[in-house]
Amino acid sequence: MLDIIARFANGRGFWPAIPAVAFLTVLMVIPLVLLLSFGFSDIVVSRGVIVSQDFTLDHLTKILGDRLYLLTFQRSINLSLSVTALCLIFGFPVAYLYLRSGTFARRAILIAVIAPLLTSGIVRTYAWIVILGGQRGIVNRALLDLGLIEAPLRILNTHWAVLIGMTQVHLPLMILPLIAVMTRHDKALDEASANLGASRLQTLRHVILPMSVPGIGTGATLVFTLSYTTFVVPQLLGGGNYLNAATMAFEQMVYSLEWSKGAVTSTLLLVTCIFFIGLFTWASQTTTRWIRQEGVA
Amino acid sequence: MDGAYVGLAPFVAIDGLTKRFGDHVALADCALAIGRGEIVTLLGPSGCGKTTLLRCIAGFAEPDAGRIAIDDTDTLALPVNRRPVGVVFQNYALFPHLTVAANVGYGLKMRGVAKAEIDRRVAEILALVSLSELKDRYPIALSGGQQQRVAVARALVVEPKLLLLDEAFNALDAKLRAGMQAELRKLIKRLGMTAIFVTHDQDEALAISDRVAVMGSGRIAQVANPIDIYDRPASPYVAQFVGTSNMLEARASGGVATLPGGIKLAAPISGNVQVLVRPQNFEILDASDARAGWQGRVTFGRPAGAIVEYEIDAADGTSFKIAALRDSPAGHLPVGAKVGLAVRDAGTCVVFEASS
Repeated sequence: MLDIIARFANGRGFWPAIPAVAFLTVLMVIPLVLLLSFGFSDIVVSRGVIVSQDFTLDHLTKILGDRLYLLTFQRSINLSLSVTALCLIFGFPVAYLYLRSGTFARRAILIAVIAPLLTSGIVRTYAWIVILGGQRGIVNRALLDLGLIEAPLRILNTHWAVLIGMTQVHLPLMILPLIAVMTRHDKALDEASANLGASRLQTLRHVILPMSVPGIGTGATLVFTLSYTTFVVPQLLGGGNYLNAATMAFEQMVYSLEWSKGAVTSTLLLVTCIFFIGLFTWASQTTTRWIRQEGVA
Repeated sequence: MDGAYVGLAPFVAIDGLTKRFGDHVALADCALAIGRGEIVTLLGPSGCGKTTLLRCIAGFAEPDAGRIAIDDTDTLALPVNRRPVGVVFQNYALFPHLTVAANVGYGLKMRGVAKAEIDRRVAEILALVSLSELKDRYPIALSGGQQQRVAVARALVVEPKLLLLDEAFNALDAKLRAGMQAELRKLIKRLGMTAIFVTHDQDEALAISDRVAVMGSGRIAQVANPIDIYDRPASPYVAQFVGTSNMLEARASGGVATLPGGIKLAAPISGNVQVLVRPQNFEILDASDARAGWQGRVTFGRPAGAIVEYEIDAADGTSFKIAALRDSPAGHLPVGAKVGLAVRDAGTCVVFEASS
């Protein structure tokens, strides 16, 4: 016993990890396994309590054969990849600006990026309703007043509103890892590149961009995961017309109380999400082999 | 190859170069002329302006005034990526995400040279610096010496007119350093390249350059070949920065300065003067010897290879730094020994006007 305590205090081996492992097992792994098990069984619920649970693959086979699910997951993947791409397109220039800025401007950029994170995503999503909403929304009123359009555009409650809102809500999660990379960027490399004849654009393309890959990988993983699994933004900005996989799982669980179906949807969501995270990690690692090469003696 | 550069139009001409950072004057009216194929070192302590001068030539910093011409072309008018200058950076600044071959070929690629031509020239220069075997390695898998050779190859492959090296040997350990200095000097000479080294290391400066420009407080204090810098420094600043020096006070009149012990030196000035005597120019005598100009006591002794370095304090409080051959009679003095000191050779002493 004393031996165990001593080893624990030593910080050697796996002992220090035990509190975290225990915490996660009780609060995450067990509930998750229970939830997922619903997908592989028929359950009977009475007054909110499961009274019987029998193993079956019916729900899984039915859902895998259902085109609605295929379309919904395709839509989710398309949306999340688009949001990831948009976040990269909008986020990279901000990070590049950060790289090129002095101390004061850098601080300003950092505050501007972090500030939205201090507000709940739900509140920020509501803000988009005000901006994009019907005839009296800021966008439509501006366009009407300028005479650019004759009738208000229908943006809110469409796929476009979800895309715009989600990009804005998740943008900081792309910018922050990129800024972390830029902070470590050695300016001597840019000078070396210029000295060797590169224009600023060539330096961006051949030095800064490839060296940002680890940041892009982290940012893409964060943005994709959150975009793929959120049901708040699609519900608020899609106005109930927009169904993605996460929203579907949520509705099956909370509204229609089809727990088994919801569990299958969740399982598929989890598996596909892990697949894409793996894909991003693999892509980022193969393009950054230079971090890890060892000398051949 | 002595004194200032003499010739027709110099290959590199720097004139009136001035650079301020706020109130701080980093470069004050610097002038330097360098001949084709010459190796010049900018030597000085940190903050003396040597790196700023190099950055102005490369285009990383913009001078407030002055002129830089390379091969009769106004270089300051050229953007940074069009200057005919190759830089070897302090920590080499190799692109970590590119292989050795891609690092070396980078400049050619940016210039739009065809792929086959790039491969040929990269292979050629890598063979020259004996790195052909390592062309597919990434910089992280190279030793310091190998990284330095990649940096040199990368700067040379685009055939610059002038090579700039910023503290190029700093990151190498002492033993490797001496070898690389000789290697690099030979390589630059073989290619007939004109080069400017920047360093704070006087041994490095004396070892690799044809001429040394000693800098202090943004000014060039003296430009001369390494031997003259040591033997005939132009000012007490240069004398004290290069090598070990003893500055003795004396009075001069009628063109002659007299040191204790009856040593007479030609002095172009009258009044209070300072006399530079190098450590090896002292003779250590018995305390009772009549030739001794000073009596003193050994306070410190340190063997340094073939010589011993002593600190000897005279009765009047002056501290001398003296070097003696270890196999001479004076090579084994204990701390506390009483000795007499005399200047060996008046001809190698240098007389300066007293600073105050």
